[in-house]
Amino acid sequence: MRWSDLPHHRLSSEIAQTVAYRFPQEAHCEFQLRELTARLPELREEDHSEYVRLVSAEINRELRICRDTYRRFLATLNSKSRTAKWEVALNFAVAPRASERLQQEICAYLRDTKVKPTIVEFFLADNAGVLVPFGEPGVKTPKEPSIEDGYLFLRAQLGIPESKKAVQERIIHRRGTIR
Amino acid sequence: MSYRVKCNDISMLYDANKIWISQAGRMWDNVLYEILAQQVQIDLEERSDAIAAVEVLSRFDSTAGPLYAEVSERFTTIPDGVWADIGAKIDRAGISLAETLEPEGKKILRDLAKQKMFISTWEEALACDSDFDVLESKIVVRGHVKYRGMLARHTKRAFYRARDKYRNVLEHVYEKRALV
Repeated sequence: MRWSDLPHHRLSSEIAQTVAYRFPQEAHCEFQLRELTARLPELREEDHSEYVRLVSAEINRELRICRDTYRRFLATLNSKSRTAKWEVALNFAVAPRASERLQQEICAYLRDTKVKPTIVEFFLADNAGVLVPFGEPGVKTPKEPSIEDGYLFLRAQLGIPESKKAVQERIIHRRGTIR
Repeated sequence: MSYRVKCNDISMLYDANKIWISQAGRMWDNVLYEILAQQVQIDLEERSDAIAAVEVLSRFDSTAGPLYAEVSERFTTIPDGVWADIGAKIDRAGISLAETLEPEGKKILRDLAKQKMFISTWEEALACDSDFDVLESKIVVRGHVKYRGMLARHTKRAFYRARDKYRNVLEHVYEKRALV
């Protein structure tokens, strides 16, 4: 069976439903996240650290739900190797979703922190090599940047993972690049 | 593209922005580690499948099966040097050639021994490209001509069978686990 023939719409809605469901004891996390979001522009390190912890945990929770949903579905297809099916779920469902969610959450984080798009681009686009002293003649004014542009620059430079293989390569080469 | 920033201002800019720079990196890392953890889980599961499969196989099948399965994925035609390396590994594992070959292979070993040619290692048996010009290449059985095949061919056949047994057992393990 081809990947494109799977009922992705049904599976996506199943994932969304499970992600949306919360235990009553998790309610305080949502509330805490809302409060932290409001305080992000104050640039207090402990707030940012807690915010990132909560958001990463949310993304990872969603990725695990995605993994389990696809694994459950693939298990019913036939009796072939279950680890091969897990690989398929990781490569084609989980890793692309990780990439997409990272893009959404990092852009939302930068926007809520009120970081100027020019600054995002300046730090993330890895353009230090073309910096010129202020006032140098002949320098063109760049087009108005956006946070999404900055993120896409970053993605192009660092190759945000679209597949598990890219993730593995990135995890080896990327550490220290962004910090 | 230029940002029209003075060089002296860069460190000041960095100090003012280092919190979100490092935290965005942390978010990225946290998600990448989750993906990596999922990959590691699959690898461990595969390893445990392989260990479960190997437990029910003979020593030769459990050693030669995975070795040949791996090599056959890398080469269309396995070079002699690689065959010799595989043979050396089986020799180091202390697995007897004479006891493992199928009857036809054993007979070739005996016939060679009668000619004072003693082949006792897998490495030699896999690497020899003739039957030393002492054995008949054809024999007649009940009026039909049969090609005996060389020692290397019979030795390699043991590997093909080991690989097939290994894969069958793996499939069986997968099927059992798929029902869990």
